[in-house]
Amino acid sequence: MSETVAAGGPPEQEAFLQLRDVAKNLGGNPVLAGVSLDVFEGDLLGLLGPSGSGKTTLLNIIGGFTDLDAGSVRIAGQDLTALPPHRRDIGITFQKYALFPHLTVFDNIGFGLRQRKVAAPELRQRVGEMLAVLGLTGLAGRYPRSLSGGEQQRVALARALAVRPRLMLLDEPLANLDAALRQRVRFEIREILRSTGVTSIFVTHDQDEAFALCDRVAVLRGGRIQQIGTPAELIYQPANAFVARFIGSPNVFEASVQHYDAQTQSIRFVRDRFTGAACVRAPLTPGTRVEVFVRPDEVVIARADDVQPAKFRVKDWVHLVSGREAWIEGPITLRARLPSEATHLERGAAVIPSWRPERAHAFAIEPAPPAAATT
Amino acid sequence: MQVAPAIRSSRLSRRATSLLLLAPTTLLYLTVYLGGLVMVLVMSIDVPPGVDSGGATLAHYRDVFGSAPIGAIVLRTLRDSLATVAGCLLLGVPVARYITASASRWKGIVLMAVLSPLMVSAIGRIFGWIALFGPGSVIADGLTALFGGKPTGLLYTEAAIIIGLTNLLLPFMVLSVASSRAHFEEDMSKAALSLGATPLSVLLQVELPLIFPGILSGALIVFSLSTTNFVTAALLGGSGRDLVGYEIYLDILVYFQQGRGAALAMLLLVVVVALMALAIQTGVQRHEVRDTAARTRGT
Ligand SMILES: Nc1ncnc2c1ncn2[C@@H]1O[C@H](COP(=O)(O)OP(=O)(O)OP(=O)(O)O)[C@@H](O)[C@H]1O
Ligand SMILES: [Mg+2]
Repeated sequence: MSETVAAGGPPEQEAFLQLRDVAKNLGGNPVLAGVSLDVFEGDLLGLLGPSGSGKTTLLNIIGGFTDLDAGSVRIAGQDLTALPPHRRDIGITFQKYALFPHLTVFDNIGFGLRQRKVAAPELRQRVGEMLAVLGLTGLAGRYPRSLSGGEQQRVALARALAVRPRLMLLDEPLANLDAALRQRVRFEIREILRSTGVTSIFVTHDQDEAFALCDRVAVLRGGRIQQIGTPAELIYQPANAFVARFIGSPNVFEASVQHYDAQTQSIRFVRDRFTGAACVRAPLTPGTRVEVFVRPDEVVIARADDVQPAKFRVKDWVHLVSGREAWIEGPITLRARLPSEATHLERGAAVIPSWRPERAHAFAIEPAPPAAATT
Repeated sequence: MQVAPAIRSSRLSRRATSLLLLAPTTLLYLTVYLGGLVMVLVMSIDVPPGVDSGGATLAHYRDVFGSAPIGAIVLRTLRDSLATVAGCLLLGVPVARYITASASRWKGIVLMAVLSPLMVSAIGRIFGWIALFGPGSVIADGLTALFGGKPTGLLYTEAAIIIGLTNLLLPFMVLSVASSRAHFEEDMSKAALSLGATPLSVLLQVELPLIFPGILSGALIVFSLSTTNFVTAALLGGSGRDLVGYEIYLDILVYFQQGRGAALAMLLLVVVVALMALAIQTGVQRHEVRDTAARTRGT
């Protein structure tokens, strides 16, 4: 299985931001290893990964705050290695905003323009534009400490965008907002980034956020890119067991391969007396131990009849916002989701689960890797 | 707004408790500190023995202003104190930055090392310096070899006083600047850099304004402690009646001119308090203007 997956985008087009085999050790640990990434002009790329996977370190390397041990970072064909941070022309927003507390909202947003010696009238006009775009007009004279979290977040965005950087890096910009605000600001950010047309990398550990905002998403784990693709690709064609497990909290169970069908690239597997189908990424020989991933909303349950003996029983219901989730028990325990108006299935009812083979994913269980990868 | 009686009384009792907790400090300041000051004030206007008793006199103050070297002594005191403040700033700000930087590994050890002068007794420390700076020491021989001149080393020079005071008072500057640097986050300097600010602009436009209150209070503490210091000045500055603090000490405890010493002490107090008030005023104003501006525009 390859570490990086084809980046998509028109093949003849040269990527605007190119990372090649970027590696970084911190305190003796490989924090990033062989990271290659292409971001095309005007794209919004999501960088998704669990805590400690190296997302912030990667942004620090692109921003020039951390030296890389190996590899290269290029923007528009130019190698950035020797370029100090203040000459990179990359806008950054930080998880804790890092606004300048001694400056007003106006002066925070105008800070970058001042560094560029933009004349006063133009500065006033451009800051005014940013204030208007981000709905901050009434707050120009306020100091950061008197702003709400959402307002501070928008000031941070305005401050970075005011200088019209060629690349924007956003490090978990919504992490400090409450759930309702997060939903709203999420789309505001997308609209603003779209309307400015700036190429951006959006870091998050929230997959809903990444999928809602980004054209393409890179999944990072333990300093390695697991997969890069559109949200649909990550959901329906996970590249490996980690991505399959990480996206959409699927059912996970072990089984062994009964039969491999080269034509459909799928297997039949057996677990105790339960058999099912799943698609695979590589040919597997019968008897191979696999892990099978299938998301609850792909699992269809039908009441068992006399023809097919029931192997599963409904154990319990859980009510979720999106519908009801049934726990069914048999050789394995599975979660299945049904719309709330679905037929009533009482506890203890005999049922049969099934799914479309291409919606379940099986990966061979590799011999336990050394500690670093078992997150 | 209507406040329920129970809430009001609990609020009252909370305020009473917090006032009560201040009482011992208040008492200590009223008796020991203010009482002492009043005694000095009384001494400074007390009629000298032998002269007609009764009433007060400004004779001691006239005496102070009349004595020829006093102007030079005051000037030298201010000069040495300012030099000490400058030395503490130059040395202390980088140290404070180091111990508050998140990536520093040795910050605990560096902090201990910086504070260590305060843990050695004044006499012990100063005799060490005399051995170090004095005639026959490595430093003295080295200086003589380099620049010629008399082999007395640095001892009994203003330079020795300034170096000694800087060493002694550095901890106050470091602690003061370090505590104000808590408002500064590394991410702010990254943000500034990403906006195109050079490392120097980041220092001048972001970091310095944020640690300014700490620099100001550190400078005030160091300044007032050096103008009033006399042990360091007495032993390193030698027998010349060099600095105001030492002059007061001599007047009161050696020459028994208590009135003159007390008058000098009062004058020093007034000058230092005035300078501090001025500095605080300028410092506080900057912040207050900001705060009120923010508040009036807010909500
Ligand atoms: N200076 C350092 N020395 C040693 N290890 C470090 C250092 N900085 C970061 N690390 C380690 O590198 C790994 C990646 O850190 P990083 O901050 O990039 O993670 P992240 O993906 O941004 O996580 P989060 O979502 O929690 O912000 C972590 O395991 C962290 O402990
Ligand atoms: Mg992070």
